[in-house]
Amino acid sequence: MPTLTCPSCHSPLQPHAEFGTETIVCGHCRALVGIDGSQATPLGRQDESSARLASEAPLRLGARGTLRGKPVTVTGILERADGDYTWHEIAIADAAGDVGWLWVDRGHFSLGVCEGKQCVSYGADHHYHYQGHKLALFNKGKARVVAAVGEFPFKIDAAALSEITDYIAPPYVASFEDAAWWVFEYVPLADIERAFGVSCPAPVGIGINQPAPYQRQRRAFGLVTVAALLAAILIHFAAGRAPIAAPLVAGTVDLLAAKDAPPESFGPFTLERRWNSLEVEVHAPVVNAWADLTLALVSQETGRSYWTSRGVEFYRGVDSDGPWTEGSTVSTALVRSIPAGTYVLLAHGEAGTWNQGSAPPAAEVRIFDHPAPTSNLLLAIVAVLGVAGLYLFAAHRFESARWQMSDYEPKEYT
Amino acid sequence: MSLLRAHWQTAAHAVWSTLIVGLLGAADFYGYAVFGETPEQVAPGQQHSHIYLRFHK
Repeated sequence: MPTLTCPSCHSPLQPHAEFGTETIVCGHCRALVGIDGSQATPLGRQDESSARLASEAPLRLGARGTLRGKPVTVTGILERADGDYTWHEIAIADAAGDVGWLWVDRGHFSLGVCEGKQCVSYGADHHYHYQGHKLALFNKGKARVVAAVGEFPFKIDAAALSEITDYIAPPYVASFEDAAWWVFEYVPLADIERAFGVSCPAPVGIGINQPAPYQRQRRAFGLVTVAALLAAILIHFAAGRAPIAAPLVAGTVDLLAAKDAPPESFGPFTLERRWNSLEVEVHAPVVNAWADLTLALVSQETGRSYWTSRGVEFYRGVDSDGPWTEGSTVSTALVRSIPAGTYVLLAHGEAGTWNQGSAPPAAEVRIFDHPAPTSNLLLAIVAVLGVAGLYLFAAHRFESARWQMSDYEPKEYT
Repeated sequence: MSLLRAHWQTAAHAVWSTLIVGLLGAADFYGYAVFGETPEQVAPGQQHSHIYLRFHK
């Protein structure tokens, strides 16, 4: 390509023919110059924003690097805007002169992977698709060029507004502009910094096509959750023995005995496991009365005793709303952490009445072995599902942050 | 290693779930109930709640 001069300041221009350059920015006066063969025509002037762009762009003009195994050079940088919202489009040329693009949105880099009318197809499901990925409409807007430096394989019209429609299927974003698709794939910042040997500011927020770690792992995470729940259920019913219908010990306790009468003794009975949870059931035919049993399991080996009390109360009557009842003649409780050993049950009972009730003469107490209580399983399920819930919450927050940038409701993409 | 880095949340969940299921199995096997009433323990000759005093007369 012959040496051209800027129509505005007559400085020499050196566009690269191998880049297919149609617009070059004068390095001296920042004017936009159209290149058409050996002709240089003015396309417009630029203000200070062009100089600022040269020094503040995410990558510098002329920067070299190896991106995804291909040596590239930054040949042009565009700053574009839709209203107050700005982004950068960086032209990178490989050794053969083919120009590709990096799109930089709030510090999030994406590499152009396809451009043309055929990149995206319209499916029978009435959605656009890119390589099998269903795209979701993300935004529509009108973009203008704010500033440019370098050279570009198209004419730049700084006054023009281009309609752009963005669709996403992370890590891809497909932009429809000027009757053509531009598909970009998200590139982690670390890859860019490694490729160009630079240090860039941390990206702001969530990139619109930033892959969500939650999305990538959701299937595996779900499988782990389901497997853990199944394992918990299987282990619960395999490792824990089912309750035995017959009580370990049962007795009838005199409720009319004197307060200082010695306790009644029942048993002995043997507990075999390291710890034992026991279901204590007390029954007394109380009507407008209560009965309380004080119970002690006394180890025959150590003399150590384990104390609890359990009562029943049942009341009934009639008021302005009609008949009412309250309480029950049966009461149960799960007593935990009784060590293995041989025990006797000591019991003492007392009873009282209310409103001409009658105290029963005796109460029955039965103690059942209750291995592997269901509450253990429920706690394990809550622990597993709780973490899964946190994961879903984090995934929801990630997507919410992404779609805050959109004018549209979040939609499914694959 | 990179696979683990990319799926660390799933890996952490797998470790956590294994721990929980293991604890459940151990608790069930040894008869330990997480919930339930813990009885008052009294060693021979030890002071205990007044309601039970009469048992040791």
